[in-house]
Amino acid sequence: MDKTKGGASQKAARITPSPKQDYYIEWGEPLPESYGDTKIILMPRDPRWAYAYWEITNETKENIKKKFGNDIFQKSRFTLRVYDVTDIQFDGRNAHRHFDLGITETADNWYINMGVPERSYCVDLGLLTLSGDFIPITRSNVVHLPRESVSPVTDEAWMQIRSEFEKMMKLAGLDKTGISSAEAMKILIQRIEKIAPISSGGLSSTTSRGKMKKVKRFWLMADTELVLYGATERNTQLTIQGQHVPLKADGTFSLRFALPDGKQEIPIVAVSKDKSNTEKITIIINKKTK
Amino acid sequence: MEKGNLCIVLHAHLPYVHHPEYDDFLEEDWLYEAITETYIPLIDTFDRLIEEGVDFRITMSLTPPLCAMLNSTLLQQRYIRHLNKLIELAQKEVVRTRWQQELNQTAIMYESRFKQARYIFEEKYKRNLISAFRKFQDMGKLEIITCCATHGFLPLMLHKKAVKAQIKIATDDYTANFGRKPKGIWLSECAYNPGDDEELKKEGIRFFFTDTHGILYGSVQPKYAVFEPVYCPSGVAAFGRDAESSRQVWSALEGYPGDFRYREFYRDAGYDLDYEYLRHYLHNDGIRRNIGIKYYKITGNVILGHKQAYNPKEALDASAEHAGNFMFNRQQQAEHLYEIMGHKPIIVCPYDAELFGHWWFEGPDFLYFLIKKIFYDQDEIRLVTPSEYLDENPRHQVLTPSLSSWGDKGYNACWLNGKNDWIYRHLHKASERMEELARTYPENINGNMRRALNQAARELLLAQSSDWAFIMTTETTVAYAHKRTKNHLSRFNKLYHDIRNNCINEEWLGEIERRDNIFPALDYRVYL
Repeated sequence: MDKTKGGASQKAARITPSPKQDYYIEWGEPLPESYGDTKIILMPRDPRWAYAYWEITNETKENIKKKFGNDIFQKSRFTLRVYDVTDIQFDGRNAHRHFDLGITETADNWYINMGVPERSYCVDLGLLTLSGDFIPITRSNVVHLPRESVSPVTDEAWMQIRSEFEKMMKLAGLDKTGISSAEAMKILIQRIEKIAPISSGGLSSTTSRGKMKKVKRFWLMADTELVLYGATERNTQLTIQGQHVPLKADGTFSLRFALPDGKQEIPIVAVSKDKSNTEKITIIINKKTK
Repeated sequence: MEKGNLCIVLHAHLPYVHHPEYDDFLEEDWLYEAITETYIPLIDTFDRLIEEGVDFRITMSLTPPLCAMLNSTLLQQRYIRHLNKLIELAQKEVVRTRWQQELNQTAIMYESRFKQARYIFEEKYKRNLISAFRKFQDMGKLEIITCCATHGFLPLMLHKKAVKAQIKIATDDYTANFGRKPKGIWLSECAYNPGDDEELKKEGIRFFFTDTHGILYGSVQPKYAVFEPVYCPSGVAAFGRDAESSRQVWSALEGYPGDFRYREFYRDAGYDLDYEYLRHYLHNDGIRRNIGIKYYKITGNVILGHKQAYNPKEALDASAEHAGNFMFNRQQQAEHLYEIMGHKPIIVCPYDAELFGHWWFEGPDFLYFLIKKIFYDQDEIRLVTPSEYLDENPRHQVLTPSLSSWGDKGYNACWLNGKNDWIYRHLHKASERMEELARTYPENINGNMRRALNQAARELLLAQSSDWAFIMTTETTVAYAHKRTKNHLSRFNKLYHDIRNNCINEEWLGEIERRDNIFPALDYRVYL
């Protein structure tokens, strides 16, 4: 799940031939650059920002030229006209307010700072001429941006939903709150605001818990392992440091030990199947790190 | 005296990663790691509690892609292959660390845990982990809820039908797995868009969750903040996340998982061991990666090379200590809220399930101790499931929660920013085309046309997984997220073209049906 490389020791991986980056990737057909629609789509990002993407077909551009002259694109600027259409049926003229954003001709998407949360917005993509006329090309959907604070509305409505087998649920006590709702609300909100808002930060299964601390210092690591190997008759009982070691089918064995500093005495004892023969080898190792 | 309810929600999800076209596929490890480190330890925890006679209530979402992977015979076989290799390595590690007492005990722990995992997976539950969770649900201990069909991020879907399909397909899938309809849903990324509750209602779903500010910034001031659910105008209940308890577990700085005694996630033997010795246990590409054997503890604010040996006993003590602390804090919180509210609050604590075990290795032990302490040591707080709570408390305030998510900054920015915004024009177009196809073929048709239409719906759904946009944002496995988004969208576009021109390539269709084989019972007319 985690794709974060582990610290210093990752460098050791470089000794291995590094396969191509796309070892597991096959890309398939590229996606189309356009779909042949003249349209603009608006999406909510957060209480103040929305995102728009659009596409204008050549056919649309030709029609505009036919209508407004071949040099219309030189004589005007691509513009997003943003309307506040909160609680109205927008007819193109009745917006609460609007503002214009000049955009580059090659752009096909834009992040728009709407400024005011909890309002509904829609956007016209069009051309703003030198004389100040706006030629709309296409209009977006309406997007409602969310609140970023507690609602001023305190009118309470209550609803009771009973599941079928719970129809006799007693309700006693539910309304006896003791203090006024506004008061309770205030205390609860204060309690929550004391705790800085905490989101999981997208701690989703496919991401890493935190950033690795990058170790920039020059460094070196070295350690030792001991490979202990040998062979004996098949079906022999073999013990190393008193612990039973299974033999491979051909009577060989191979063990690997991390070798710390200090002295190791390694008695290797083989006892034949009928217990009539015993062989013993003891290996003694002294390791010192300076 | 009882002062409050505690609702612990574990959201278990992984994107659908299924590559029969490769013998060995890197991202399938996400599933294998989560099975070994999270799902099996959770199952084991629940089984132990039941054997010990401890009553409990936990809520878990098991997303449709996760269920589909757990049900996949191919992935089950590959998991066993993966686990057997891990056991083999752990056994060698027990020998290798014989002269390093402080590491050896941890090596022995891994060997026994991996073997226990194999026992639970193979013998106890016959490779069917869904049946384990279902058993706990049938016993009334666990409430399993569903999630959007492919973990699609609803607030950025333009088309209502696309939202409906995410909900309806998820509900059908849940019913097939658990033998009844879901009562609740975890909206992907905890993301709520006003009005989506109408779609939930149509599927008989009674409740969902929002982040704290989803309720606090609702259309009307919530009288009891997040300590009571609210009803949307549709009558579907919304439970808000408690910020205080989240912080205790999530926070990188003060959260329990950062305790120095716990296992260090980033120091993995996959980077420490001798390459030749390790090579057999790496993927075919031979690149060093985490292998899931980790010998060190967090230790403190030191570089990875200076971490000290992990001590399983010491870590277990820490998890018991933290469980006690968490319970104490909830008791205090419940008591305080009870005084203010005049009745019992519900404290809702949702977490990613994979936090427990995968990221926070000792997380399942923490849960075990917490549940046990709640059962034996106190009577102020009671564990509840949301539907049990709603049955007992049917009357609540009505308001429309705010658009919100639990992602960074609390809204949509995590799934809509300069790194991933390019995907939406393609996703929206594909949704529009899918509706168009459904309208064109509203009658039940047969043969290849029907197969192609159903597959088009699958490709759209898989492309919609919020995971891809999320990975692009966090820059973890970006190439793979791009691949998946592009693959599914281009497969969709080809299917659209082929259906439109009545030129379906049966061989190609068969191949993508084999690869993208989620939701075998899907009917494309869900987009009608």
